[in-house]
Amino acid sequence: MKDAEPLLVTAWLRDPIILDRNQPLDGILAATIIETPELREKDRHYRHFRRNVGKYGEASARAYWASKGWELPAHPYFIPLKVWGMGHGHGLWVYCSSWATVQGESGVTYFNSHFDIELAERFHLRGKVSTGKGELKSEHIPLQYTVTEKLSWYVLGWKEEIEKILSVTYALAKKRNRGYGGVRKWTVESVEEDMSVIAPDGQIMRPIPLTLLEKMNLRGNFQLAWTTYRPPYWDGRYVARCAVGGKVDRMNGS
Amino acid sequence: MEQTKWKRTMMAIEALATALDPIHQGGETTGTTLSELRREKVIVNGSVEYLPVISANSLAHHLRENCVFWVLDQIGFEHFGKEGERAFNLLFRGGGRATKIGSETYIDLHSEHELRSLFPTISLFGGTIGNRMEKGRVRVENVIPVCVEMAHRLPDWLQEEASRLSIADMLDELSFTATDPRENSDYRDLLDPAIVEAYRRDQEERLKKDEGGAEMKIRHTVECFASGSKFYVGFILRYANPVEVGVFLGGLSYFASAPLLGGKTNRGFGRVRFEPRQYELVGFTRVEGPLAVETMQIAHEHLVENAERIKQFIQDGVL
Repeated sequence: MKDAEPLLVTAWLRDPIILDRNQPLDGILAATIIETPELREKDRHYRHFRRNVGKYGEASARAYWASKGWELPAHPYFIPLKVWGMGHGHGLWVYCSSWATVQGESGVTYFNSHFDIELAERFHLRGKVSTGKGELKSEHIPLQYTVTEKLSWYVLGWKEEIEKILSVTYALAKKRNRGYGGVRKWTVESVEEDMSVIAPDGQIMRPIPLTLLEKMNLRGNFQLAWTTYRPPYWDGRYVARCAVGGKVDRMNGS
Repeated sequence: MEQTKWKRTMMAIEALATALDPIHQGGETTGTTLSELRREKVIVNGSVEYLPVISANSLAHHLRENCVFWVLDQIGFEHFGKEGERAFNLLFRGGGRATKIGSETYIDLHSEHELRSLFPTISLFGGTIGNRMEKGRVRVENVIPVCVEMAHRLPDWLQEEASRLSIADMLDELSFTATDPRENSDYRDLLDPAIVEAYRRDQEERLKKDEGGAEMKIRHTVECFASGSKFYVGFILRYANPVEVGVFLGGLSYFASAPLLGGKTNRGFGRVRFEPRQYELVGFTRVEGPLAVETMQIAHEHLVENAERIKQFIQDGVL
Protein backbone atom coordinates (compact mmCIF):
# COMPACT_ATOMS: atom_id res chain seq x y z
CA MET A 1 0.00 0.00 0.00
CA LYS A 2 1.41 3.39 -1.03
CA ASP A 3 1.65 6.01 1.66
CA ALA A 4 -0.55 9.10 1.70
CA GLU A 5 0.97 12.35 0.43
CA PRO A 6 0.23 16.05 0.97
CA LEU A 7 -1.91 17.36 -1.87
CA LEU A 8 -3.57 20.51 -3.12
CA VAL A 9 -6.99 19.72 -4.61
CA THR A 10 -8.70 22.36 -6.77
CA ALA A 11 -12.23 22.41 -8.14
CA TRP A 12 -12.51 24.70 -11.17
CA LEU A 13 -16.09 25.90 -11.09
CA ARG A 14 -18.49 26.52 -13.95
CA ASP A 15 -21.39 27.90 -11.92
CA PRO A 16 -21.79 30.03 -8.81
CA ILE A 17 -21.77 27.94 -5.64
CA ILE A 18 -24.08 28.03 -2.62
CA LEU A 19 -21.86 27.37 0.40
CA ASP A 20 -23.58 27.26 3.75
CA ARG A 21 -20.34 26.52 5.60
CA ASN A 22 -16.60 26.39 5.04
CA GLN A 23 -16.68 23.10 3.22
CA PRO A 24 -13.91 20.54 3.88
CA LEU A 25 -13.17 18.02 1.12
CA ASP A 26 -13.89 14.93 3.25
CA GLY A 27 -17.64 15.71 3.19
CA ILE A 28 -17.62 15.99 -0.61
CA LEU A 29 -15.70 12.73 -1.02
CA ALA A 30 -18.02 10.92 1.43
CA ALA A 31 -21.16 12.17 -0.34
CA THR A 32 -19.83 11.02 -3.72
CA ILE A 33 -18.96 7.57 -2.34
CA ILE A 34 -22.44 7.17 -0.89
CA GLU A 35 -24.19 8.40 -4.05
CA THR A 36 -22.12 6.32 -6.52
CA PRO A 37 -23.09 2.62 -6.72
CA GLU A 38 -19.61 1.40 -7.78
CA LEU A 39 -17.84 3.32 -5.00
CA ARG A 40 -20.43 2.14 -2.47
CA GLU A 41 -19.77 -1.46 -3.55
CA LYS A 42 -16.05 -0.87 -3.09
CA ASP A 43 -16.69 0.50 0.38
CA ARG A 44 -18.69 -2.63 1.31
CA HIS A 45 -15.74 -4.72 0.05
CA TYR A 46 -13.38 -2.66 2.21
CA ARG A 47 -15.56 -3.11 5.32
CA HIS A 48 -15.65 -6.86 4.67
CA PHE A 49 -11.83 -6.82 4.56
CA ARG A 50 -11.58 -4.84 7.82
CA ARG A 51 -13.93 -7.29 9.55
CA ASN A 52 -11.66 -10.14 8.44
CA VAL A 53 -8.61 -8.25 9.69
CA GLY A 54 -10.33 -7.83 13.05
CA LYS A 55 -11.29 -11.49 13.32
CA TYR A 56 -8.28 -13.28 11.83
CA GLY A 57 -5.46 -10.74 11.66
CA GLU A 58 -4.00 -8.69 8.79
CA ALA A 59 -1.78 -11.44 7.32
CA SER A 60 -4.55 -14.02 7.29
CA ALA A 61 -7.04 -11.60 5.76
CA ARG A 62 -4.54 -10.62 3.04
CA ALA A 63 -3.82 -14.26 2.24
CA TYR A 64 -7.53 -15.03 2.00
CA TRP A 65 -8.08 -12.01 -0.27
CA ALA A 66 -5.17 -13.10 -2.48
CA SER A 67 -6.52 -16.66 -2.70
CA LYS A 68 -9.86 -15.29 -3.91
CA GLY A 69 -8.16 -12.99 -6.39
CA TRP A 70 -9.91 -9.95 -4.87
CA GLU A 71 -8.45 -6.47 -5.01
CA LEU A 72 -6.95 -5.34 -1.73
CA PRO A 73 -8.19 -1.98 -0.40
CA ALA A 74 -5.84 0.79 -1.56
CA HIS A 75 -6.23 2.73 1.69
CA PRO A 76 -7.32 1.87 5.24
CA TYR A 77 -10.23 4.32 5.72
CA PHE A 78 -13.71 4.96 4.32
CA ILE A 79 -12.42 8.10 2.59
CA PRO A 80 -8.93 8.04 0.98
CA LEU A 81 -7.65 10.63 3.45
CA LYS A 82 -5.41 10.07 6.46
CA VAL A 83 -6.95 10.64 9.87
CA TRP A 84 -5.55 12.91 12.56
CA GLY A 85 -5.83 12.48 16.31
CA MET A 86 -6.82 8.80 16.34
CA GLY A 87 -6.34 7.19 19.78
CA HIS A 88 -6.54 10.39 21.82
CA GLY A 89 -10.18 10.09 22.80
CA HIS A 90 -13.14 8.05 21.64
CA GLY A 91 -14.37 9.19 18.21
CA LEU A 92 -12.63 12.54 18.28
CA TRP A 93 -10.34 12.08 15.27
CA VAL A 94 -10.74 14.16 12.10
CA TYR A 95 -9.92 13.57 8.44
CA CYS A 96 -6.85 15.36 7.05
CA SER A 97 -8.61 17.94 4.91
CA SER A 98 -8.52 21.69 5.27
CA TRP A 99 -11.49 23.97 4.81
CA ALA A 100 -12.00 25.23 1.27
CA THR A 101 -10.09 28.35 0.34
CA VAL A 102 -12.53 30.65 -1.46
CA GLN A 103 -11.95 34.04 -3.00
CA GLY A 104 -14.96 35.52 -4.69
CA GLU A 105 -17.98 37.77 -4.53
CA SER A 106 -21.35 36.98 -3.02
CA GLY A 107 -24.83 37.54 -4.33
CA VAL A 108 -28.34 36.52 -3.37
CA THR A 109 -30.63 34.30 -5.41
CA TYR A 110 -34.20 33.28 -4.67
CA PHE A 111 -35.96 29.95 -4.98
CA ASN A 112 -39.70 30.21 -5.44
CA SER A 113 -42.37 27.57 -5.41
CA HIS A 114 -46.13 27.64 -5.04
CA PHE A 115 -49.12 25.33 -5.05
CA ASP A 116 -50.48 25.47 -8.62
CA ILE A 117 -54.17 26.23 -8.18
CA GLU A 118 -54.91 26.29 -11.93
CA LEU A 119 -53.39 22.83 -12.35
CA ALA A 120 -55.20 21.56 -9.26
CA GLU A 121 -58.52 22.54 -10.82
CA ARG A 122 -57.59 20.65 -13.98
CA PHE A 123 -57.01 17.48 -11.92
CA HIS A 124 -60.36 17.85 -10.12
CA LEU A 125 -58.82 18.61 -6.75
CA ARG A 126 -61.62 19.85 -4.50
CA GLY A 127 -61.81 21.45 -1.09
CA LYS A 128 -60.07 24.32 0.68
CA VAL A 129 -56.31 24.58 0.39
CA SER A 130 -54.24 26.71 2.72
CA THR A 131 -51.19 28.13 0.97
CA GLY A 132 -50.30 30.50 3.79
CA LYS A 133 -48.91 27.87 6.16
CA GLY A 134 -48.04 24.20 6.43
CA GLU A 135 -46.67 21.99 3.70
CA LEU A 136 -48.63 23.69 0.89
CA LYS A 137 -47.19 27.11 1.79
CA SER A 138 -45.79 29.23 -1.03
CA GLU A 139 -42.08 29.84 -0.71
CA HIS A 140 -39.64 32.60 -1.66
CA ILE A 141 -36.35 31.45 -0.19
CA PRO A 142 -33.23 33.63 -0.38
CA LEU A 143 -29.89 31.85 -0.64
CA GLN A 144 -26.47 33.44 -0.77
CA TYR A 145 -24.23 32.27 -3.59
CA THR A 146 -20.55 32.89 -4.18
CA VAL A 147 -19.12 33.45 -7.61
CA THR A 148 -15.53 32.26 -7.81
CA GLU A 149 -13.28 30.54 -10.32
CA LYS A 150 -12.06 27.82 -7.97
CA LEU A 151 -12.16 26.23 -4.54
CA SER A 152 -8.95 24.71 -3.11
CA TRP A 153 -8.24 22.28 -0.30
CA TYR A 154 -5.04 21.03 1.34
CA VAL A 155 -5.35 17.33 2.12
CA LEU A 156 -3.18 14.41 3.18
CA GLY A 157 -4.35 11.39 1.22
CA TRP A 158 -4.03 8.86 -1.57
CA LYS A 159 -3.87 10.79 -4.85
CA GLU A 160 -5.14 8.16 -7.30
CA GLU A 161 -8.08 7.18 -5.12
CA ILE A 162 -9.05 10.82 -4.60
CA GLU A 163 -8.89 11.43 -8.37
CA LYS A 164 -11.16 8.41 -9.01
CA ILE A 165 -13.83 9.75 -6.67
CA LEU A 166 -13.58 13.31 -7.95
CA SER A 167 -13.94 12.11 -11.56
CA VAL A 168 -17.64 11.49 -10.83
CA THR A 169 -18.16 14.58 -8.65
CA TYR A 170 -19.88 16.98 -11.03
CA ALA A 171 -21.30 19.52 -8.59
CA LEU A 172 -20.74 20.75 -5.05
CA ALA A 173 -22.58 22.15 -2.06
CA LYS A 174 -26.21 23.26 -1.91
CA LYS A 175 -28.75 23.26 -4.74
CA ARG A 176 -26.41 21.25 -6.92
CA ASN A 177 -29.39 19.72 -8.74
CA ARG A 178 -30.64 23.21 -9.59
CA GLY A 179 -27.76 24.67 -11.54
CA TYR A 180 -25.38 25.68 -8.75
CA GLY A 181 -21.89 24.43 -7.85
CA GLY A 182 -21.13 22.82 -11.23
CA VAL A 183 -17.49 21.75 -11.65
CA ARG A 184 -15.62 22.09 -14.97
CA LYS A 185 -12.58 20.05 -13.93
CA TRP A 186 -10.58 18.89 -10.93
CA THR A 187 -6.84 19.14 -10.43
CA VAL A 188 -4.93 17.23 -7.75
CA GLU A 189 -1.30 18.33 -7.26
CA SER A 190 1.39 17.13 -4.88
CA VAL A 191 2.70 19.78 -2.50
CA GLU A 192 5.73 19.78 -0.23
CA GLU A 193 4.19 20.49 3.15
CA ASP A 194 1.13 19.04 4.79
CA MET A 195 -1.31 21.86 5.56
CA SER A 196 -4.43 19.75 5.91
CA VAL A 197 -5.14 20.06 9.66
CA ILE A 198 -2.52 22.36 11.17
CA ALA A 199 -0.22 24.36 8.90
CA PRO A 200 3.54 24.38 9.63
CA ASP A 201 3.17 27.86 11.18
CA GLY A 202 0.57 26.43 13.59
CA GLN A 203 -2.53 27.81 11.80
CA ILE A 204 -5.70 25.74 12.37
CA MET A 205 -6.94 24.72 8.91
CA ARG A 206 -10.20 22.91 9.76
CA PRO A 207 -12.51 22.32 12.74
CA ILE A 208 -10.78 20.23 15.42
CA PRO A 209 -12.60 19.25 18.66
CA LEU A 210 -11.18 21.29 21.53
CA THR A 211 -11.15 18.15 23.71
CA LEU A 212 -8.91 16.45 21.18
CA LEU A 213 -6.47 19.37 21.18
CA GLU A 214 -6.40 19.31 24.99
CA LYS A 215 -5.84 15.56 25.08
CA MET A 216 -2.98 16.01 22.60
CA ASN A 217 -1.60 18.77 24.79
CA LEU A 218 -1.82 21.34 21.99
CA ARG A 219 -2.47 24.82 23.27
CA GLY A 220 -2.83 28.11 21.54
CA ASN A 221 -4.98 31.11 20.82
CA PHE A 222 -8.00 29.44 19.16
CA GLN A 223 -11.21 30.77 17.68
CA LEU A 224 -13.94 28.46 18.95
CA ALA A 225 -17.31 27.44 17.55
CA TRP A 226 -19.85 24.66 17.94
CA THR A 227 -19.62 22.84 14.64
CA THR A 228 -19.42 19.43 12.98
CA TYR A 229 -15.93 18.02 12.67
CA ARG A 230 -16.49 14.92 10.56
CA PRO A 231 -18.82 13.96 7.68
CA PRO A 232 -21.74 13.83 7.27
CA TYR A 233 -21.56 17.52 8.16
CA TRP A 234 -25.34 17.85 8.47
CA ASP A 235 -25.39 15.18 11.18
CA GLY A 236 -25.62 16.32 14.81
CA ARG A 237 -23.64 13.31 16.09
CA TYR A 238 -20.34 14.95 15.30
CA VAL A 239 -21.04 18.41 16.65
CA ALA A 240 -18.56 19.58 19.30
CA ARG A 241 -16.87 22.73 20.54
CA CYS A 242 -14.12 23.03 17.97
CA ALA A 243 -11.14 25.17 17.21
CA VAL A 244 -11.98 26.71 13.84
CA GLY A 245 -9.17 29.23 13.59
CA GLY A 246 -6.22 30.70 15.41
CA LYS A 247 -2.80 29.18 15.97
CA VAL A 248 -1.28 26.34 17.94
CA ASP A 249 1.55 27.53 20.23
CA ARG A 250 3.84 24.56 19.79
CA MET A 251 3.64 21.43 17.68
CA ASN A 252 4.40 18.61 20.06
CA GLY A 253 1.60 16.13 19.80
CA SER A 254 0.72 15.44 16.18
CA MET B 1 -41.88 -5.35 -3.71
CA GLU B 2 -39.34 -7.41 -5.59
CA GLN B 3 -36.24 -5.40 -6.41
CA THR B 4 -35.29 -5.42 -10.07
CA LYS B 5 -31.60 -5.23 -11.04
CA TRP B 6 -31.31 -2.67 -13.78
CA LYS B 7 -28.12 -1.24 -15.17
CA ARG B 8 -27.76 2.32 -13.94
CA THR B 9 -26.00 4.85 -16.10
CA MET B 10 -24.47 8.28 -15.81
CA MET B 11 -25.74 10.31 -18.70
CA ALA B 12 -26.06 13.88 -19.89
CA ILE B 13 -28.83 15.26 -22.06
CA GLU B 14 -28.07 18.58 -23.65
CA ALA B 15 -29.71 20.82 -26.18
CA LEU B 16 -29.26 24.04 -28.03
CA ALA B 17 -32.51 25.95 -27.65
CA THR B 18 -33.22 28.68 -30.18
CA ALA B 19 -35.72 31.33 -29.14
CA LEU B 20 -38.70 31.67 -31.47
CA ASP B 21 -40.18 34.45 -29.30
CA PRO B 22 -38.51 36.92 -26.95
CA ILE B 23 -37.52 35.22 -23.68
CA HIS B 24 -38.05 36.89 -20.29
CA GLN B 25 -37.56 35.80 -16.71
CA GLY B 26 -38.28 38.54 -14.22
CA GLY B 27 -35.71 39.86 -11.81
CA GLU B 28 -35.30 43.35 -10.39
CA THR B 29 -37.47 46.30 -11.36
CA THR B 30 -36.06 49.66 -12.41
CA GLY B 31 -38.31 52.53 -11.38
CA THR B 32 -41.80 51.14 -11.48
CA THR B 33 -42.08 50.33 -15.13
CA LEU B 34 -39.01 48.41 -16.36
CA SER B 35 -38.96 44.73 -15.53
CA GLU B 36 -35.36 43.56 -15.88
CA LEU B 37 -34.18 40.05 -16.61
CA ARG B 38 -33.13 37.88 -13.66
CA ARG B 39 -29.37 38.35 -13.23
CA GLU B 40 -26.52 36.53 -11.56
CA LYS B 41 -22.93 37.46 -10.94
CA VAL B 42 -20.59 35.84 -13.44
CA ILE B 43 -16.80 36.04 -13.70
CA VAL B 44 -15.84 37.33 -17.15
CA ASN B 45 -12.11 37.57 -17.85
CA GLY B 46 -11.33 37.82 -14.16
CA SER B 47 -13.86 40.53 -13.29
CA VAL B 48 -17.33 40.06 -11.87
CA GLU B 49 -20.27 41.12 -14.03
CA TYR B 50 -24.00 40.94 -13.39
CA LEU B 51 -25.45 39.05 -16.36
CA PRO B 52 -28.84 37.54 -17.20
CA VAL B 53 -29.26 33.78 -16.75
CA ILE B 54 -32.52 31.82 -16.75
CA SER B 55 -32.75 29.78 -13.56
CA ALA B 56 -32.44 26.01 -13.53
CA ASN B 57 -35.26 25.96 -10.99
CA SER B 58 -37.79 27.19 -13.55
CA LEU B 59 -36.66 24.65 -16.15
CA ALA B 60 -36.73 21.89 -13.51
CA HIS B 61 -40.32 22.82 -12.74
CA HIS B 62 -41.32 22.56 -16.43
CA LEU B 63 -39.61 19.18 -16.70
CA ARG B 64 -41.07 17.82 -13.47
CA GLU B 65 -44.54 18.88 -14.54
CA ASN B 66 -44.23 17.29 -17.98
CA CYS B 67 -42.81 14.06 -16.53
CA VAL B 68 -45.77 13.85 -14.13
CA PHE B 69 -48.19 14.47 -17.01
CA TRP B 70 -46.52 11.66 -18.94
CA VAL B 71 -46.70 9.24 -15.98
CA LEU B 72 -50.33 10.04 -15.21
CA ASP B 73 -51.21 9.55 -18.88
CA GLN B 74 -49.59 6.11 -18.85
CA ILE B 75 -51.66 4.95 -15.87
CA GLY B 76 -54.82 6.81 -16.87
CA PHE B 77 -55.14 8.93 -13.75
CA GLU B 78 -57.11 12.18 -13.76
CA HIS B 79 -58.80 12.71 -10.39
CA PHE B 80 -56.80 13.47 -7.27
CA GLY B 81 -60.01 13.68 -5.27
CA LYS B 82 -60.53 15.10 -1.78
CA GLU B 83 -57.54 13.53 -0.06
CA GLY B 84 -55.13 14.05 -2.92
CA GLU B 85 -53.81 17.54 -2.25
CA ARG B 86 -50.63 16.33 -0.55
CA ALA B 87 -49.90 13.85 -3.37
CA PHE B 88 -50.69 16.53 -5.95
CA ASN B 89 -48.37 19.00 -4.23
CA LEU B 90 -45.64 16.39 -3.92
CA LEU B 91 -45.84 15.26 -7.54
CA PHE B 92 -46.13 18.65 -9.22
CA ARG B 93 -44.10 20.80 -6.87
CA GLY B 94 -41.90 18.44 -4.90
CA GLY B 95 -43.85 18.78 -1.66
CA GLY B 96 -43.32 21.08 1.25
CA ARG B 97 -41.73 20.43 4.59
CA ALA B 98 -44.05 19.96 7.56
CA THR B 99 -42.37 18.95 10.77
CA LYS B 100 -44.72 18.30 13.64
CA ILE B 101 -43.44 17.05 16.98
CA GLY B 102 -44.60 13.50 17.52
CA SER B 103 -45.86 13.04 13.97
CA GLU B 104 -44.78 10.07 11.91
CA THR B 105 -43.04 10.45 8.61
CA TYR B 106 -45.52 9.53 5.94
CA ILE B 107 -43.38 6.83 4.37
CA ASP B 108 -41.08 4.50 6.30
CA LEU B 109 -37.44 4.43 5.35
CA HIS B 110 -37.59 0.75 4.40
CA SER B 111 -39.98 1.60 1.58
CA GLU B 112 -37.47 3.94 -0.11
CA HIS B 113 -37.15 1.52 -3.02
CA GLU B 114 -40.93 1.23 -3.33
CA LEU B 115 -41.36 5.00 -3.31
CA ARG B 116 -38.70 5.54 -5.98
CA SER B 117 -40.03 2.65 -8.04
CA LEU B 118 -43.70 3.67 -7.99
CA PHE B 119 -43.04 7.39 -8.29
CA PRO B 120 -40.08 7.79 -10.67
CA THR B 121 -40.71 11.53 -10.95
CA ILE B 122 -39.90 11.93 -7.22
CA SER B 123 -36.83 9.78 -7.72
CA LEU B 124 -35.78 12.00 -10.64
CA PHE B 125 -36.54 15.47 -9.31
CA GLY B 126 -36.55 14.89 -5.56
CA GLY B 127 -39.17 15.91 -3.05
CA THR B 128 -40.12 16.36 0.57
CA ILE B 129 -42.45 13.91 2.27
CA GLY B 130 -43.35 15.02 5.77
CA ASN B 131 -40.00 15.77 7.35
CA ARG B 132 -38.05 13.53 5.01
CA MET B 133 -36.12 14.74 1.97
CA GLU B 134 -35.73 12.62 -1.16
CA LYS B 135 -32.70 13.50 -3.25
CA GLY B 136 -33.32 13.71 -6.97
CA ARG B 137 -31.19 12.02 -9.61
CA VAL B 138 -31.38 14.79 -12.21
CA ARG B 139 -29.10 17.79 -12.14
CA VAL B 140 -30.66 20.61 -14.13
CA GLU B 141 -28.20 23.16 -15.45
CA ASN B 142 -28.93 26.87 -15.56
CA VAL B 143 -30.18 27.96 -19.00
CA ILE B 144 -27.08 29.73 -20.27
CA PRO B 145 -27.22 32.24 -23.14
CA VAL B 146 -24.74 31.18 -25.82
CA CYS B 147 -22.39 34.16 -25.94
CA VAL B 148 -18.74 34.97 -25.47
CA GLU B 149 -19.17 36.12 -21.84
CA MET B 150 -20.59 32.74 -20.85
CA ALA B 151 -18.16 30.60 -22.87
CA HIS B 152 -16.57 29.08 -19.75
CA ARG B 153 -19.98 27.75 -18.66
CA LEU B 154 -20.71 26.10 -22.01
CA PRO B 155 -19.66 22.67 -23.34
CA ASP B 156 -17.01 22.29 -26.05
CA TRP B 157 -19.51 21.80 -28.88
CA LEU B 158 -20.92 25.31 -28.30
CA GLN B 159 -17.63 27.22 -28.04
CA GLU B 160 -17.57 28.29 -31.69
CA GLU B 161 -21.20 29.39 -31.57
CA ALA B 162 -20.49 31.32 -28.35
CA SER B 163 -17.55 33.20 -29.87
CA ARG B 164 -19.83 34.92 -32.40
CA LEU B 165 -22.05 36.97 -30.08
CA SER B 166 -21.78 39.20 -27.07
CA ILE B 167 -24.60 39.19 -24.54
CA ALA B 168 -25.27 42.86 -25.35
CA ASP B 169 -26.30 41.79 -28.88
CA MET B 170 -28.93 39.43 -27.48
CA LEU B 171 -30.75 41.84 -25.16
CA ASP B 172 -33.78 43.83 -26.14
CA GLU B 173 -36.44 45.93 -24.45
CA LEU B 174 -40.09 45.66 -25.41
CA SER B 175 -42.72 48.13 -24.26
CA PHE B 176 -46.42 47.62 -23.68
CA THR B 177 -49.22 50.00 -22.86
CA ALA B 178 -52.14 49.41 -20.55
CA THR B 179 -55.04 51.86 -20.77
CA ASP B 180 -57.50 52.52 -17.99
CA PRO B 181 -60.75 50.86 -19.20
CA ARG B 182 -62.69 53.94 -18.04
CA GLU B 183 -60.84 55.91 -20.74
CA ASN B 184 -61.91 53.55 -23.47
CA SER B 185 -65.09 54.69 -25.28
CA ASP B 186 -65.90 51.06 -26.20
CA TYR B 187 -66.42 50.20 -22.52
CA ARG B 188 -68.20 53.36 -21.38
CA ASP B 189 -71.65 52.12 -22.25
CA LEU B 190 -71.05 49.17 -19.95
CA LEU B 191 -70.13 51.30 -16.96
CA ASP B 192 -72.41 53.05 -14.51
CA PRO B 193 -72.55 56.76 -15.60
CA ALA B 194 -71.83 57.75 -11.97
CA ILE B 195 -68.51 55.87 -12.12
CA VAL B 196 -67.53 57.56 -15.38
CA GLU B 197 -68.51 60.96 -13.95
CA ALA B 198 -66.50 60.39 -10.75
CA TYR B 199 -63.51 59.35 -12.86
CA ARG B 200 -63.76 62.54 -14.98
CA ARG B 201 -63.96 64.73 -11.86
CA ASP B 202 -60.91 62.99 -10.41
CA GLN B 203 -58.94 63.53 -13.62
CA GLU B 204 -59.89 67.23 -13.77
CA GLU B 205 -58.81 67.76 -10.16
CA ARG B 206 -55.52 66.02 -10.84
CA LEU B 207 -54.90 68.27 -13.84
CA LYS B 208 -55.71 71.38 -11.74
CA LYS B 209 -53.20 70.27 -9.12
CA ASP B 210 -50.72 69.69 -11.94
CA GLU B 211 -50.48 65.98 -11.12
CA GLY B 212 -51.37 64.91 -14.64
CA GLY B 213 -53.75 62.13 -15.59
CA ALA B 214 -51.38 59.59 -14.20
CA GLU B 215 -53.68 56.60 -14.35
CA MET B 216 -54.95 57.00 -17.89
CA LYS B 217 -52.19 55.07 -19.64
CA ILE B 218 -49.38 52.99 -18.20
CA ARG B 219 -46.41 52.14 -20.33
CA HIS B 220 -44.29 49.29 -19.03
CA THR B 221 -41.13 47.83 -20.46
CA VAL B 222 -39.80 44.31 -20.34
CA GLU B 223 -36.13 43.46 -20.79
CA CYS B 224 -35.78 40.26 -22.75
CA PHE B 225 -33.57 38.10 -24.93
CA ALA B 226 -34.39 38.84 -28.56
CA SER B 227 -35.98 36.05 -30.58
CA GLY B 228 -33.26 34.08 -32.37
CA SER B 229 -31.08 34.05 -29.23
CA LYS B 230 -29.57 30.69 -28.43
CA PHE B 231 -29.37 28.96 -25.07
CA TYR B 232 -27.64 25.95 -23.65
CA VAL B 233 -29.99 23.57 -21.83
CA GLY B 234 -28.47 20.63 -19.97
CA PHE B 235 -29.36 17.80 -17.61
CA ILE B 236 -27.23 15.17 -15.89
CA LEU B 237 -28.99 11.95 -14.90
CA ARG B 238 -26.97 10.25 -12.17
CA TYR B 239 -27.41 6.51 -11.98
CA ALA B 240 -30.96 6.55 -13.24
CA ASN B 241 -32.44 3.14 -14.08
CA PRO B 242 -34.22 2.53 -17.42
CA VAL B 243 -37.65 3.34 -15.94
CA GLU B 244 -36.40 6.70 -14.67
CA VAL B 245 -34.65 7.44 -17.97
CA GLY B 246 -37.84 6.46 -19.82
CA VAL B 247 -39.99 8.74 -17.65
CA PHE B 248 -37.50 11.58 -18.10
CA LEU B 249 -37.52 11.16 -21.88
CA GLY B 250 -41.33 10.87 -21.82
CA GLY B 251 -41.52 14.18 -19.98
CA LEU B 252 -38.90 15.66 -22.28
CA SER B 253 -40.95 14.59 -25.31
CA TYR B 254 -44.01 16.37 -23.85
CA PHE B 255 -41.86 19.42 -23.10
CA ALA B 256 -40.27 19.37 -26.56
CA SER B 257 -43.66 19.31 -28.27
CA ALA B 258 -44.23 22.92 -27.14
CA PRO B 259 -41.12 24.01 -25.27
CA LEU B 260 -41.28 27.23 -23.29
CA LEU B 261 -38.59 29.04 -21.33
CA GLY B 262 -39.03 31.80 -18.78
CA GLY B 263 -42.14 33.80 -18.03
CA LYS B 264 -44.88 35.81 -19.77
CA THR B 265 -45.61 32.73 -21.89
CA ASN B 266 -49.28 33.73 -22.17
CA ARG B 267 -48.24 37.06 -23.72
CA GLY B 268 -46.18 35.96 -26.71
CA PHE B 269 -42.93 35.20 -24.89
CA GLY B 270 -41.01 32.01 -24.33
CA ARG B 271 -41.31 29.63 -27.28
CA VAL B 272 -38.07 27.87 -28.26
CA ARG B 273 -36.94 25.24 -30.75
CA PHE B 274 -35.23 22.42 -28.98
CA GLU B 275 -33.15 19.46 -30.19
CA PRO B 276 -31.79 17.21 -27.43
CA ARG B 277 -28.61 15.13 -27.64
CA GLN B 278 -27.64 12.31 -25.32
CA TYR B 279 -24.16 11.56 -23.96
CA GLU B 280 -22.77 8.88 -21.72
CA LEU B 281 -20.52 10.41 -19.09
CA VAL B 282 -17.20 8.70 -18.48
CA GLY B 283 -15.67 10.90 -15.83
CA PHE B 284 -15.69 14.37 -17.36
CA THR B 285 -15.55 12.96 -20.91
CA ARG B 286 -18.73 12.75 -22.98
CA VAL B 287 -19.51 10.01 -25.51
CA GLU B 288 -22.41 10.92 -27.77
CA GLY B 289 -25.01 8.24 -28.47
CA PRO B 290 -28.59 7.98 -29.68
CA LEU B 291 -31.45 9.03 -27.40
CA ALA B 292 -32.50 5.99 -25.37
CA VAL B 293 -36.12 6.17 -26.55
CA GLU B 294 -36.57 2.42 -26.00
CA THR B 295 -36.56 3.10 -22.24
CA MET B 296 -39.90 4.90 -22.66
CA GLN B 297 -41.48 1.53 -23.47
CA ILE B 298 -39.84 -0.06 -20.39
CA ALA B 299 -41.16 2.81 -18.26
CA HIS B 300 -44.62 2.49 -19.80
CA GLU B 301 -44.78 -1.25 -19.06
CA HIS B 302 -43.53 -0.75 -15.49
CA LEU B 303 -46.09 1.99 -14.80
CA VAL B 304 -48.99 0.06 -16.33
CA GLU B 305 -48.03 -3.04 -14.32
CA ASN B 306 -48.06 -0.99 -11.08
CA ALA B 307 -50.88 1.39 -12.02
CA GLU B 308 -53.33 0.19 -9.36
CA ARG B 309 -50.78 0.46 -6.55
CA ILE B 310 -49.77 3.97 -7.66
CA LYS B 311 -53.40 5.12 -7.76
CA GLN B 312 -54.03 3.54 -4.35
CA PHE B 313 -51.03 5.38 -2.86
CA ILE B 314 -52.34 8.70 -4.17
CA GLN B 315 -56.01 8.17 -3.27
CA ASP B 316 -55.32 6.86 0.24
CA GLY B 317 -53.46 10.08 0.97
CA VAL B 318 -50.45 8.01 2.10
CA LEU B 319 -47.98 10.15 0.20
